[in-house]
Amino acid sequence: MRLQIEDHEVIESKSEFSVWDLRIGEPFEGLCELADSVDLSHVSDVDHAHIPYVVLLTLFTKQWRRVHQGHLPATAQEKATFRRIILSAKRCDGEFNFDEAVEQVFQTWADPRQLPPEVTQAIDAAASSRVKSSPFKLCLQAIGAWSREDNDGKPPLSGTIPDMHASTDRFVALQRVYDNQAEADCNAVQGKLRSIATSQLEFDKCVSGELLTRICKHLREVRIVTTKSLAEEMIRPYLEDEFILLESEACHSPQNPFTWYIAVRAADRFFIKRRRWPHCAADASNLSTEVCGIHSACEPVRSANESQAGEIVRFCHSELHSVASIIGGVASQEAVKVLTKQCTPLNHTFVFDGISATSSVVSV
Amino acid sequence: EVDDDGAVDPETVIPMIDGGTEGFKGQARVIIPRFTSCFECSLDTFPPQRTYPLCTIAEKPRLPEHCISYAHVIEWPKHFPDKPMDTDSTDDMRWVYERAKARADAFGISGVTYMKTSGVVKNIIPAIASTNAIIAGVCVNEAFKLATLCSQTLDTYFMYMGADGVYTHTFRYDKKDDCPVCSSTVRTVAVHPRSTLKALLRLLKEGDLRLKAPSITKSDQTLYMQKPEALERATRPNLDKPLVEVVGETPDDETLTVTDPIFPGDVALSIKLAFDDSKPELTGDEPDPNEDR
Repeated sequence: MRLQIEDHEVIESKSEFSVWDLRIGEPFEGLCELADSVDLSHVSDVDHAHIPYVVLLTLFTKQWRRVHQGHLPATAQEKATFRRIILSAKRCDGEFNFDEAVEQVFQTWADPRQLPPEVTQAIDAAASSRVKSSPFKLCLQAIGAWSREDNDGKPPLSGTIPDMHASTDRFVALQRVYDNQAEADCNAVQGKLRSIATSQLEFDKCVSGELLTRICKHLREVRIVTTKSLAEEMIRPYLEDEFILLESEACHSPQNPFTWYIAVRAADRFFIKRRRWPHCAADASNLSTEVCGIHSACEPVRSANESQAGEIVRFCHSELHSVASIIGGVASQEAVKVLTKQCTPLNHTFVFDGISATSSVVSV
Repeated sequence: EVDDDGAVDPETVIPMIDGGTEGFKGQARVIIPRFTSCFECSLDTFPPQRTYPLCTIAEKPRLPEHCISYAHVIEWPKHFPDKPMDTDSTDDMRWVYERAKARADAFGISGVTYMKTSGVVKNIIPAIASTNAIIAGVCVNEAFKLATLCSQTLDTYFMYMGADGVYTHTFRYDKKDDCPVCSSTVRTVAVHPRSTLKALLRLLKEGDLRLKAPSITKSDQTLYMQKPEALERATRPNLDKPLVEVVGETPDDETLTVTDPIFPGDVALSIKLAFDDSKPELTGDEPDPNEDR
């Protein structure tokens, strides 16, 4: 199953590994004020056990900075000491908020400037003049420009926070502080957008439907996907990496799905030349030639030529319902992803081997 | 079925194909009883069920889910003590939704919607038709190959992840050496001699076996039986006894048999205890570490 798309813009890729944007190491004004309003030594025992870990970490970080000339814990030893300081502030065993603070302590030294490589790529691509513009890209451009020029390289605050052990009031207050700052950052980006946009119409497109707000909120999940075109794949496939992978895998048997990719493409070429699919014994040798024509170097694939060509000829025209169902399922899934612009689409060919129930994704 | 030598008779083996999906993820596998790993072998890879502790629900809600749980678990029985909640009735669902929303508003929590209420109350996991089609296709493919013996079968586990591009991984899931269903080894459990029988049963529930309601017997004596009621009452005092009293000073001489509703047929688990003073002394009443606070 081969997907071809160009410039596909995704805001919510729902990536499994997204990171929370907490800014504990460089707290914004709202967070500082909230943390300052808490006096750990004078709160009641119940309150002490229900202060959100984000506030705890902010307080302890401030304390640390005062003693360490403004620096964050950097070496392994300093980080261990920092953890110990947090734990020793516990009044009793059942204070889960302190345990959470230690579990999540890396948030203190997490750098908000670090974005996933796909996002940085997308922002760079958006600014490049070679790429066709769109409201989505204009928003990314504005975000990139604002981060660089007005916000010390830090992107706009996303505003969402994870659930954590806390009292209702304190949790809701914390949420509010993040919401407010995220809104302020987004408005600032909007100001930048106004200066970049070449017309009022362009500006309106970015702001309508809360496009800019959504991109700011889900910045770490943003993706732009472009697959190689079919034409280029047929004329100039780049097979090197796939072959290297084949050679290093223990299972570079003729059954490896990638070898079937070669075989199927060879059948395609056969069809283009002869206007029919290979289906008799005589066709097998012609098909082998096609396979050789596609690759030249890889030894395991070369030896699989004959048997694979024979298999393609033998199976020609046969379509098992179950396999068709599987391929159809993958195709419809990709269609849903492309149409709804959620989650990251495939790039670009999915090959399934129903004999061993293995598959691979080919990107040539 | 086994023949006289204890070897399995292949003609009596009924293969099983199991598949499941959740959103964009899915898995399919082939189980050939006694030859490949069984379902029980992989049971410890299942994460524990996520529950919300009562104190968070009752006093310190933070998320819309907490408010919904409150309306469903606490307010409904209070208002309708004789009527169990019917998740298929729109009137009942609407009542829960409105109470949840009122509670959320009172606490300043946003996010309670009718859809979320249904999701929490009915434990709905969102499904995507295409993933179901793919996994169903893989399962049928295996069934076809098994029925016609035309090609090799899946060996043994197929994992599918479709959220970020498409990714699959196929591997052989090996048998677990001490699996209570497909192997017959006796499992050793290390405990503190003064831990109670209740603590042992709890260990069996919370450990990798995930038993539901274990009953346990010694060679000559019933230690604790969940059913029938009369027997449960008679054996209940045994729960608080320390294990050294229950099995004696030399636990290696005693093989205990554990039965549980989740074991199929007359399968039972044989365990031996090993006394270890370095283990914590448990009463079985300790707070639940898996409860999400």
